Amino acid sequence: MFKNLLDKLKGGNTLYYPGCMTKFALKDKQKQYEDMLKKLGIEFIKLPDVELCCGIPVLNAGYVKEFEALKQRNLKIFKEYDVKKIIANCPGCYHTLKNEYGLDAEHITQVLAKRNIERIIPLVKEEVTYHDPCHLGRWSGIYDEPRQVLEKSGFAVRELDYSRQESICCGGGGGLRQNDRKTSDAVACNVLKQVKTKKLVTACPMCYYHFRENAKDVEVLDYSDVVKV
Amino acid sequence: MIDDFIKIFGRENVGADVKDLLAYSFDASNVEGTPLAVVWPLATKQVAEFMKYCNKNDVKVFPRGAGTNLSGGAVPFKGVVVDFSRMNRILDVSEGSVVVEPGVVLEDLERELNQRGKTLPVVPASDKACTVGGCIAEDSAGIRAVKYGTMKDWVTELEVVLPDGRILKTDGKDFSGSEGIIGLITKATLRIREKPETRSLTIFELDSPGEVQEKLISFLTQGASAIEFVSRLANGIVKKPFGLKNTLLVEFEDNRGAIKDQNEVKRITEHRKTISSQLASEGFVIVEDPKVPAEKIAEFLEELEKMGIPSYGHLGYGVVHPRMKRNAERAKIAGLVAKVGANPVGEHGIGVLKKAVKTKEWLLPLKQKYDPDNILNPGKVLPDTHVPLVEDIKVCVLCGMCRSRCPVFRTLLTESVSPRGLAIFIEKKLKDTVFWEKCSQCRACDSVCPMSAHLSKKIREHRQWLIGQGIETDSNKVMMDNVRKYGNPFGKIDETKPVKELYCC
Repeated sequence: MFKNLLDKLKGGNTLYYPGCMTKFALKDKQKQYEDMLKKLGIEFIKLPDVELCCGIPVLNAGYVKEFEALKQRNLKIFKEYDVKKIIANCPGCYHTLKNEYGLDAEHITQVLAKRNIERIIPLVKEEVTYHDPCHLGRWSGIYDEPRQVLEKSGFAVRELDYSRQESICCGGGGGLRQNDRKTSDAVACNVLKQVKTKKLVTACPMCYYHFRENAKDVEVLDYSDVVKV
Repeated sequence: MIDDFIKIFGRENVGADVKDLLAYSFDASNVEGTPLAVVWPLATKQVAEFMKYCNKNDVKVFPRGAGTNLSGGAVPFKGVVVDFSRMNRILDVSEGSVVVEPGVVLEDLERELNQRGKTLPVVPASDKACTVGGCIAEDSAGIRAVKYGTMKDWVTELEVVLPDGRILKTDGKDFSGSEGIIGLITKATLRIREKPETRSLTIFELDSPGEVQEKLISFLTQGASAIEFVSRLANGIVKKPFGLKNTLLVEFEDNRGAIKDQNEVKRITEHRKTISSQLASEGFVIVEDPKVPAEKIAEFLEELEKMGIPSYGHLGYGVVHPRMKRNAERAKIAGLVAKVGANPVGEHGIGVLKKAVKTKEWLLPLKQKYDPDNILNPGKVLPDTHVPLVEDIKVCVLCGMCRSRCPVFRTLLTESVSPRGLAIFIEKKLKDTVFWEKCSQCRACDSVCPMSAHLSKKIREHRQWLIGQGIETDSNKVMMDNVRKYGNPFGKIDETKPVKELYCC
């Protein structure tokens, strides 16, 4: 609370940036994240009509000039809205805004890890497997926070055969899904074979969507589905 | 010919397009070959039928595991590559042995065995990617060879398809270390042992090669499970050295070592494995593998120091790895090897690179017996043809470690979609949409790349170059139209309908 006050005195807005994937394909998750932030007492703004793509799919596809154009447009909008800090639930957006734009950005799992969200832990913790999204793990080095939050939320986190830095991609990113759906699906199924629990949790909207479409015996959950504040 | 192969293996297990031919023209050495086609067998009977066909029609056949070979043993010369990556099942694990297909990756096997408290103690540096079949064919050694010997010491039975298509069950003696020139290994039974409960380590910092030799000899009779070495020069070059002097690491499978914390022992062992990659990233990409008698180690290391050549190695087993920047420097090592009476081929095999300096005499009568028409892996091991070397591969050193983590390779199991394959395509300036269709930009390749080649970035840059050449995929065109019109890749959204395609990351 004291920190919130300090932030207010410093001026500037905190922007919740859902990113295209959440905004256009997973509206229910967007609402869950917004509710989560509200419950945490974080005052945030949204950019309802002017929010553009952060540019990561464009950059990864090799359209560098177009990425730069998006970046400049976004920076202008952020300035207009006096954005000083950004919270993103999409690891791709988070990485891009933080590292390609050089802004003060946090992933939702980092925000949650800093807050006191400890709940009454059940005697028998429910087992969930956590999948490290590429842009959160290898790209950004965030491995511990998502696990800590899940543990604090009352889950027993189980690992895939290959996890953390060795985590195997879901197959959805980098343009793979849009350019070769068959291969992309086969990659997801290959990862899903490693899951030994009934539930798989991930903290990336693309991983969530792509795994969910390919899962047969595993319930795939987004971070906002399981972490309650 | 291709149609005949398709009848045997099925369409999805035969490749002959330009990408297959490029991707299979290399292994981890700097030898460049010329494949005519690639086949991926799934069963022994397919291999047998294939060999009958090739023998009858004089088609040369080149077996391949992970292509991590450092002597050119897996490079094809005007023939068909048999890539065993898809024969990768662990068939049976019992108390004292394991039965596997040849394409099982050593690390995957070890994970499976460790879960049962077992181990196969053959640990070559390429264990993340190399296959059991390749290790048998090369008789691989690695860091624990001082105590546990080489792969041949763990083979109890092999199923082998001979060049005429016959299937042979054998104790494996003829075929371990035969480098793929007399038969194709299609199944292996290997001894396994209990995984040690503990390991400990002592690190010695030694001023002179003489002290290294003295310490080495003193530990050779004490049952150490590894005696590893990093030279003073190597320590001076790498970014994360062990110290300023010559380093000797002695590992025990009990508590005799000074460092007993298991995590620390593991960390140090893994750090030792990085010396090779650290040297490679400083430009020392050429490696040799002489096996030097213990009493000649001091002389050998002193001469290397005088020549300014950094080295490291499995000293307990006698193998030293001098590292150089150019192919021409190999001659210096050849002279030194002859001077001290070392074996020039310690663990990397003869392949094509060592044919001039070493012959496996024991293989000559076996080649006559099993492959008189020279169908299998011609141009390897036995002295004959000249082989083209590539002096400078700029994109990566083609070691193949990236295969172990790339999600697309792990799924499709063909070199033409591995990051190494894409690196070859970049080198050859291939204009193809494969760069979008077979890479998810996940950076797993970067996480295991010993050269820090940043292949994911290079693939992204090649995508940019392709766009400049007017090459785009239809899906990317749609995405970019939306971005230009609406500022996002999804375009104008009708909220009553699900999105047609996903664009993210």
